[in-house]
Amino acid sequence: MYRRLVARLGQSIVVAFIVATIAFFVVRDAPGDPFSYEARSLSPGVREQLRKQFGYDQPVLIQYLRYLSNVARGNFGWSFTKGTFVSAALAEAIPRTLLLASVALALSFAIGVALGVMQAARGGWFDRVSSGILLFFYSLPDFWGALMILTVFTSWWQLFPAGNIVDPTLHEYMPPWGAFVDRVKHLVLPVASLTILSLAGVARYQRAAMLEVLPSEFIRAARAKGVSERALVWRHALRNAATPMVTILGLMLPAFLGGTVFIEKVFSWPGLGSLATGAVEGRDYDLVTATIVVGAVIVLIGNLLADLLHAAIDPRVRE
Amino acid sequence: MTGRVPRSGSLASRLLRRPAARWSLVVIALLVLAAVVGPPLWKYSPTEQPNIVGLKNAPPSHAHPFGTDAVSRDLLSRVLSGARISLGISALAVALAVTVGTAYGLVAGYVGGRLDTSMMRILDAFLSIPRVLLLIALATLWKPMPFWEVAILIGATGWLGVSRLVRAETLAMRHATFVEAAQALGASTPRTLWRHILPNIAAPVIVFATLAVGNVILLESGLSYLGAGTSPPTASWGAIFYDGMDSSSSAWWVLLFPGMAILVTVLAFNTLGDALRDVLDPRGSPTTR
Repeated sequence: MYRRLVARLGQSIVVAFIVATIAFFVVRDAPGDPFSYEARSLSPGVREQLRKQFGYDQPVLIQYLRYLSNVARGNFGWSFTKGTFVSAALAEAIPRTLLLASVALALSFAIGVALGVMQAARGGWFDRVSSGILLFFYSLPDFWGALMILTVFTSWWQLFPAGNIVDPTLHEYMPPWGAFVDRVKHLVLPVASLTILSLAGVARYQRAAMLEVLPSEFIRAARAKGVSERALVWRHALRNAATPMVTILGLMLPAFLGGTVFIEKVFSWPGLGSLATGAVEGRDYDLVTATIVVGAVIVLIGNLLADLLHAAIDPRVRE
Repeated sequence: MTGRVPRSGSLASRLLRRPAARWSLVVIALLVLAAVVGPPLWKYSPTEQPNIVGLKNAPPSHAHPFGTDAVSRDLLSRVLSGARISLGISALAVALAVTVGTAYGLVAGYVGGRLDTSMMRILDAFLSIPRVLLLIALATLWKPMPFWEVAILIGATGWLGVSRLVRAETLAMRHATFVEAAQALGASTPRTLWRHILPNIAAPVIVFATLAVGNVILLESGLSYLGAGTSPPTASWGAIFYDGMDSSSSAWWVLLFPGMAILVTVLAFNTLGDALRDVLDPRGSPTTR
């Protein structure tokens, strides 16, 4: 198991390197450069000088080698739109996205798994009605669902603030407890939106996984032995239907991170997604490249954790 | 509902016995029909601006059943022509993704060994890139993009799931008796793959493709919402929605109708996909209980 984990870690580092290469060339090969965004206000001479200063006049291969050596030393470049180092902008944004994403991911798995198990175990009208409702949420565009939640809870019924992570003016002057409440209040709607929009997918997979396990021999044996229906479903069946869910968790991560991009946009949550959308609009090349790489690294770390979880719940993987 | 469906008859008749499948097929047929014959039949063109001052953000009326947008364009005609773009992008992207993904998965699963291992490693690398982040970067930095380029972009980043699926199915089938029999009779590798393996793995691929259509429509509308979709004036449903964002507080119809078009279409394809899965691939469906 230990060796396996080390091997996986090595692979992940190689993958991160490949992703960085892909992201670099995809971004640098685009027409124009970071300065063409401001082209109207820059004279050709100034522009040429800036291109030279930041190395955009060099052949792409040289730029790539320079980029690699900079990244190896922890320098991800300069962000023109933020006016700071890319690493500083990332350090600010990543924790915010992780907070939003981890809470929503935990909630959507908890609720989604419970729903899927209940659907598969009960069947009948409960299964049909809830499947219909879940399919509706599964088919809803993320941004549209989030916009509806935003409209209902911030403008029709003014329960929650409409965006940002804390109150931009008052937060500094709040007492500790008030500041904490302020934080939580700003977190509720984005987390709720992300949860509602992702749990449908989880529940669909969990339902299918349970339906595959429930007809098994060992379930019939346990039932014959007199195990209560409740323990049968939640202990015997769910434990065996949990393994594919861990795989699903790993596979869902990239899409989940994609979902946070839309939620962050709707709720003006200044995390990685907002950083990425702002960066592409401003042709902020280094920042765009970095957001893709960081997104991939988050997914890779998530996959490693999923692997550990897999080993924890399935003894066959451990040996 | 599903418990009573008998497991006999041809595929089509088994599918059509399900009300959900019937309804989703009707909706999809109507949508395709509207996309094909709608724009030339409706009296307004999607880019015509009849009266920028007088008809700005006009609410739904007899003349304009879906209302008009901020520059007085008729929303019904924009949603109809948007159907062409959205459905067109989706069909093209899914066709591309399924073709590439199936080919990749077939080769990896059939050849196996070290080729399979390295092909799967490459796949893992691609799978770790969050698709939305990559797509907004590509679609914004390479703007303006005609709709078929957006379709190719979405298709080219969407084949990973199919190839995993196809590889797993091929791997399971590689040593099946009928495959070994075909090989023993001297069938070439391409013929074995094409005539013997492909038809037997078609069912899950068809289910996947149907669900993918809905997914791509969602993805494309999301990209458009971020301003990274097709270039104007050709507007997909997502782009119409994006255009309507500025006037949304006073004119709900500019968001409602394109949004409904997306929702109904995706819902129809997902319902059809679920029904197809129950019919084609009974594992994990209530009928096996």
